[in-house]
Amino acid sequence: MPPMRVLVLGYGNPSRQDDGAGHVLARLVTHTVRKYGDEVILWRGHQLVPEAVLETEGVDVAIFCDASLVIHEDGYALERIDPFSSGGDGLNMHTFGPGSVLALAEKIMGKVPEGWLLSVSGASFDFRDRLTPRCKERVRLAQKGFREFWREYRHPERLQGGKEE
Amino acid sequence: MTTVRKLEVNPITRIEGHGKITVHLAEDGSVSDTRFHVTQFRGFEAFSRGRDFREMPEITPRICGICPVSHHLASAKACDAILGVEVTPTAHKLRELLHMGQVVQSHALSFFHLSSPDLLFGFDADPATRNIAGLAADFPELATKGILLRKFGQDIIKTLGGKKIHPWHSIPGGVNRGLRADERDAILKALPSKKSDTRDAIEFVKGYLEEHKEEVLKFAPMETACMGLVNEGYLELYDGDIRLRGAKGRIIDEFADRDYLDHIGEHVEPWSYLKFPFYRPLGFPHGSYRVGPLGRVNACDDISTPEASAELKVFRQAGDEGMVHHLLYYHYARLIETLYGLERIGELLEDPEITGSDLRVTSSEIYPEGIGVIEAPRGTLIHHYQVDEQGALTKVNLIVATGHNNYAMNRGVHAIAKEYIKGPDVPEGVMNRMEHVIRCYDPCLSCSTHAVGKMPLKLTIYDAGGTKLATRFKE
Repeated sequence: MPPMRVLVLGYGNPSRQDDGAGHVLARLVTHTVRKYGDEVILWRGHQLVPEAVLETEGVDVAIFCDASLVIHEDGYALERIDPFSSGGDGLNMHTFGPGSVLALAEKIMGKVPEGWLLSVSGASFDFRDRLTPRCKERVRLAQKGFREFWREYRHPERLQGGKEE
Repeated sequence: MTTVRKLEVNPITRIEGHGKITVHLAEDGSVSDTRFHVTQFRGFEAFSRGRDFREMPEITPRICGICPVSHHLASAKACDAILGVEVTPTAHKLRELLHMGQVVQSHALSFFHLSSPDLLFGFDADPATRNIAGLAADFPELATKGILLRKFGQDIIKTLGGKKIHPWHSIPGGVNRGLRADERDAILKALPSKKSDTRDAIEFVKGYLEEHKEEVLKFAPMETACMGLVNEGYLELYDGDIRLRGAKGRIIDEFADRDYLDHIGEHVEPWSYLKFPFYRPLGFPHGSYRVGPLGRVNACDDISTPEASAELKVFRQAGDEGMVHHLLYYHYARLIETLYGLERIGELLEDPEITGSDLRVTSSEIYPEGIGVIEAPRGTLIHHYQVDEQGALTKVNLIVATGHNNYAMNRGVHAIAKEYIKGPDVPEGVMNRMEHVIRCYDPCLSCSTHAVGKMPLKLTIYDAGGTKLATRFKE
């Protein structure tokens, strides 16, 4: 497969403990994707906002990294995201979701990248700037899970340097 | 004894932070009372005590993720006063440039992303499409302009402050970074198209207000005094005197920002964490007033930049004695200020001093008190610090822009409730009108945790005995 252009979006409030997990995840995901020689654009913010759509120009895959209030069985979840032609996640600036970014990309940029959401269950959202140990462990699991997913997605022969980590 | 029912609309969507509206119904289904609650507690005034005052320009922007620059600059101004210094002309202009970037991005967010869907689709439209995604589907050109305008403002913030949210640029005594000529030229190059897009938006709003006169007239009507900074009578957003103009257009008072405590008091209600500022000589609630775009363009005599000044003259034709009180005109005023901000960016960038290298002054003095006042996009923002001999904060008083409008927001929500609610069955369109009242003021209630902030709109109906009759969620 030829090199891809991948947009990694990490968002959340790093001053609110596990809400900052998206930022940590985004850096780890970026590292993994780069190992395959793909071009990576890293976007980080406190919230997902409409202008993030501008980053999707020419992008093949968009990977959204976020904290979650939902307790996932494995501590994290990786799911395919489709653009919403409408939807509740566009109602509130605090809840502007990945589906809305993809929907805007479709309408404004004329092309919608393939969307994935990697979310980690948060344990606490208090006023601190470090992740909780439980969330850190979930981030580690999410990183591992994403590596395996991406290896399969991009084919092992594309891995540069023979070993990923 | 009158039987009262209670409706709760919780939280408000598409405003920065979350609020809750409670509507109390009498036995006949009519509205007897309405309250707009602010239930978030921030505590910055308390936990900042004991810190060194020089840290405040970095600490206080964390109050908000939308207008951190306003807190950053008001704080820096208060710190300048504690040091007893005046910043250099270059630092003053760079700070104002940063501020104009903030005004443009925040106003663009408020109008294009949060409010225009209501105007374009109608208050009663399907909420599933009445949002920025729906806007992009049906009005892609307008949605794109809004996104690019906000990005333009944020790029200025990032250029000077290193990042779009919570930038670090102003320090006590000046700024920590200058502007390069190539950075200046890049902003100047993008400026004409942003002014053109803003003028298009102004024409759209004017058309809307003209076509919807009936809605405009009955949409939370009220007449209040208006407050804002002025500089020799002209609209001022960065540094000026505070002016209060009465509802009928008479200038009631004009005073130096450092004297605010002599003129502004704060009323407290037990059902809200947000205080109710008022003009002391008139007391509460008679001394209540409005701030923000509508308050400012009413308070000033004129605007110093040509295009915004011309638009202000057209705007004032909608009011009596030059005062425009219609709530929906907040959007028009907001766009006039956006145009002013863009023109002012051009003026600042054309000034040779903007790329100067004299960025800061130092001082070993520590005065016991410092006050910094600025016009945040949402209204007048006051930072007031007291320190000991070492510079440790002993008292912090912050009057945030949203607070000034607290009384008006409550009255506005009540007016909509009285007009549209006749019983416990409240259509979504009516709930949305109440939200839109709040959105007009574009308040910043709390910068919530991103993930925790994912709450649906909730409507709860109680009978006179406090028993829950029904609950509705707006997912």
